[in-house]
Amino acid sequence: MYIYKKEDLEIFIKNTTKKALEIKNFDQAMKYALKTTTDYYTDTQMSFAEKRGKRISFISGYGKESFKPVEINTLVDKYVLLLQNIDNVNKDEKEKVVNMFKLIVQNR
Amino acid sequence: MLKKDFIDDEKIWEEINGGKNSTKEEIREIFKKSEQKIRLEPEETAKLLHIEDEELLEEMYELANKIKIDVYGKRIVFFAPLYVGNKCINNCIYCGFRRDNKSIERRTLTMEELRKEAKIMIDAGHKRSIMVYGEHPAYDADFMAETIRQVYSVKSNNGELRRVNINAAPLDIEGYKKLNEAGIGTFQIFQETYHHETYKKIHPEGDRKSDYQWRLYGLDRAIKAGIDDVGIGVLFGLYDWKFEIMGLLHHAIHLEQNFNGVGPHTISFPRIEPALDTPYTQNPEYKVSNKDFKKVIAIIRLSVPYTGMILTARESPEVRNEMIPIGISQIDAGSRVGIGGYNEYESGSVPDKEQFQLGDLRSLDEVIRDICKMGFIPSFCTAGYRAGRTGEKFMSLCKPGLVHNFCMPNAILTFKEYLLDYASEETKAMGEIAIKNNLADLTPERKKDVEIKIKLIESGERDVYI
Repeated sequence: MYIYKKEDLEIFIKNTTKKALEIKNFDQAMKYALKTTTDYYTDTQMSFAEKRGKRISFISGYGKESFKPVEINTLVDKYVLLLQNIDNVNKDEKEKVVNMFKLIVQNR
Repeated sequence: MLKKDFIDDEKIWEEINGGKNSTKEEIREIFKKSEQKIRLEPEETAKLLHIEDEELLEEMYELANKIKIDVYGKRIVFFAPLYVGNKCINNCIYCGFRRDNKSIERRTLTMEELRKEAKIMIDAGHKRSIMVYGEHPAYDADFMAETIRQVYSVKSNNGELRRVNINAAPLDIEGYKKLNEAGIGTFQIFQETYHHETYKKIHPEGDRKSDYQWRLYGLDRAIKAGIDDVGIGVLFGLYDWKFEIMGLLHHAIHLEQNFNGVGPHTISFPRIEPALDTPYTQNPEYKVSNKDFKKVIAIIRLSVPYTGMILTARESPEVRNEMIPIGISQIDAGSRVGIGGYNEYESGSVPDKEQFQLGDLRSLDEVIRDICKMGFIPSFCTAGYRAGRTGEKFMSLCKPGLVHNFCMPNAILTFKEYLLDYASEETKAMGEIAIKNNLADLTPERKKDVEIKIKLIESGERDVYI
């Protein structure tokens, strides 16, 4: 289990969201958020993708490949966040991270 | 005057001729590069085209198999074609479905017939299909998208088709977007021949298909529309096989250069086969012998190490058994290539009015047994495109030879499903041995994961994958 002080996560999310929203190019904003978050949660992998029927098309992603199943989280409409090797992050933290990405996508 | 495209016929011939008289040392240097899974440059592939030395040829065949196993593991993915309609506005002289062929009954499956075909395929154990359409206004993007949705909606017992790929005429970007919306797997376009003059000769002027560049750039438009897994191919026998290999390589390079390093997801290399009332197919000038076909397959594997390579049931069982261990990663089995062919076959008739004659009429179950005997493991995996492993992501796993870390566990899991739900007793016994052997090749941690998932499948869960 990763252990972070609660205030650290809050600060991380606040800072990452603020910076990502400042980046005008949506693609770059998502890349920044993905890179920063996978640096924060080392050994994980996070990808941003688009779901069309059964197909989930990769758009961008960062982190370490662990060849484990991905967890699919819907962000907005067809956009999804794929999380790999995230079992060690507790549910509340994970929810906060997913919500951060939702916010970035909603404000694109 | 047409603008030049990325296939420069003269330059290709110069490259081919420049590859003559290479020394064994030069060839072995190229082998070394391929072994590192680095895509070859045209001048390097050109040298491989001229290998005649038996010792070098054997080395090349062994290396082709090694590269395929390094990238994808020992799995062979299974699929089956689903022919939706054979109406066609083109008059390609090599095709049984050509407009002027009056011996062919023109037919398009109704949605009900289509679902019936899909159900028969599912009940045989298939999970992956390629849907095939003639080029006709009736088969526009809306029609194709609807047929895809219909096929995806069919469920039968534990089964369903989990990945539908498409082989159809090139579309405009708006058309591709409609197919993408329906959630397709790969979109394939075969250039048929890359040689401009030959292309012009066999595709009568005025026909839609006579536009070489519309076809050549068809996959560029597909990718721009969001379909990031595309397949290329050639119909071998229309022109010189050496030229066609170079054409495929130049196409792969073009895609890599224009789409962030994403090359072809698959390469297909059907050989021309006799078709009803199609004289051109009886004795084509550039017919590829079995000996040369073996070279074709191995050279493609060495040239584009990361790509999926498809060998179809056009070929006889003997040819398939010989060619599979030199780099093939996907095959079809239990295939029918007539419109409504699965239903007709179930009713006891073998249709002769098809696009071409099939060489391998064995059932899926029989082919699976033979694949197991050869030391491979059959796979019905469709996980990649449902887990975001597409386009750049897929290439980032394939190019360094890492994708087998997904392919092998998913092959074992989907094959287990097949054995439980569809296999004959004989195949079950052989399949369980294949699973045991391939489990032993996994790392202890991965093996444990897969064994847990096998238990889930044994307890009735389906579509379990990594």
